[in-house]
Amino acid sequence: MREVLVAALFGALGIIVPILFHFVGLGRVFLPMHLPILAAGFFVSPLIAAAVGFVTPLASALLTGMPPLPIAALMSVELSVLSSTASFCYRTIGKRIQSVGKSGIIFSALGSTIIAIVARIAVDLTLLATVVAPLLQLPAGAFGVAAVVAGLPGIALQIVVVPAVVLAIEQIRKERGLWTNES
Amino acid sequence: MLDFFQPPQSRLTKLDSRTKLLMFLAYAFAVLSTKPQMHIAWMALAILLATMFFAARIPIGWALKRFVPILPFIGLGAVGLFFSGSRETFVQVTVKAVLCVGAAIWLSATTPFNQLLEGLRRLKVPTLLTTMLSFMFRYLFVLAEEAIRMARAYQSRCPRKQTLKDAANTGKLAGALMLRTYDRAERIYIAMLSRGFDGEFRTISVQHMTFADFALLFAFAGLLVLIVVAFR
Repeated sequence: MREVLVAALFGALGIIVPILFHFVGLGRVFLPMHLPILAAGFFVSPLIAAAVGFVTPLASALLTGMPPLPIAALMSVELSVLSSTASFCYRTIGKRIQSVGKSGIIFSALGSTIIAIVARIAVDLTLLATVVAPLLQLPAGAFGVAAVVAGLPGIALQIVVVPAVVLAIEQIRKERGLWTNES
Repeated sequence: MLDFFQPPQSRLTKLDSRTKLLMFLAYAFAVLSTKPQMHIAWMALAILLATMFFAARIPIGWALKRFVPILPFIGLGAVGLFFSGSRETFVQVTVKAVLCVGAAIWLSATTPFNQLLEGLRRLKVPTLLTTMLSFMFRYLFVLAEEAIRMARAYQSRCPRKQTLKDAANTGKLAGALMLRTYDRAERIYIAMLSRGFDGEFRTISVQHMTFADFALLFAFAGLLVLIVVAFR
């Protein structure tokens, strides 16, 4: 229940943050929806992380109209992979490193973020090559590279922002002693 | 952007949300299953969509207000196709995206989101997804208000045109918003526990599938099949 609530609130942010980016005049190259969904993965189990990644683009498409429905369907797969991979890595691989302390948390959060982004790009390219490119009769290679290059500023932003947010929230958890992975 | 429209009551808006949801899905499926150069089928589907808007008494101005901000997204996706030389594909992608977005606007205008969730629950969509969507919708406005407050405060301290250099600040803003969200989630969870919430939403539903719902649904599905098959 607790995890569903956290995931839902981060999912709501996934609808709001893109609007916030547009509000201050910055476009979609920063992949604003990815930020909260990726962050949510660090605080919930992989299944719930996948669920929030799946529903957020569809809910956003229905409520705000953005992204348009066909793109939202592709993003659902992409974001569920992004979020669940981050969750899985942070919970399993990072568990041992985190005991080192603050630097361990930073390292595991950064590592999990990078692995999740790589997994997301792999799924993105596979989807583009197997579904989108044949459908639109386009060269899969060039189309895939263009899609990845367009998202580079967003990837840089994720690598900077998400580990910082994870570290800050882990400290809040520690101080309050309420919301730990074990509890 | 997030204004929710309460449409004038029409027979269509009073239908069970499951009917409208299934109509939307059937329409989207029909649009996506059309092949390139099925221009007459696309035209027939567009006329059908316009009839649906008319039957639901949705003002054209309101529909356009929701539709216009989405056009750049569709355009950006399709413009590459135009310049790559495949004009047929460009037309196909643009038409399909426009029709699907139009259907989504129709659904959101005729069905309040909480009714849509009720419909999804009754269609046996996993509880995890519907519960998550319920919470998402419930706290969307609270978080939106907080986000707008933060963005306004940022703009009032930095009232110039935003450049790429400001992306880092916006990222920090998003980070701060995430921290506040986590904090809020903690408070909400404790409040819910203290009220005895067990994860299940109990609602008194007034929605029922009547004969009219079934009749409309079958007629609509038949019409879609006819359009797709006849204009193949």
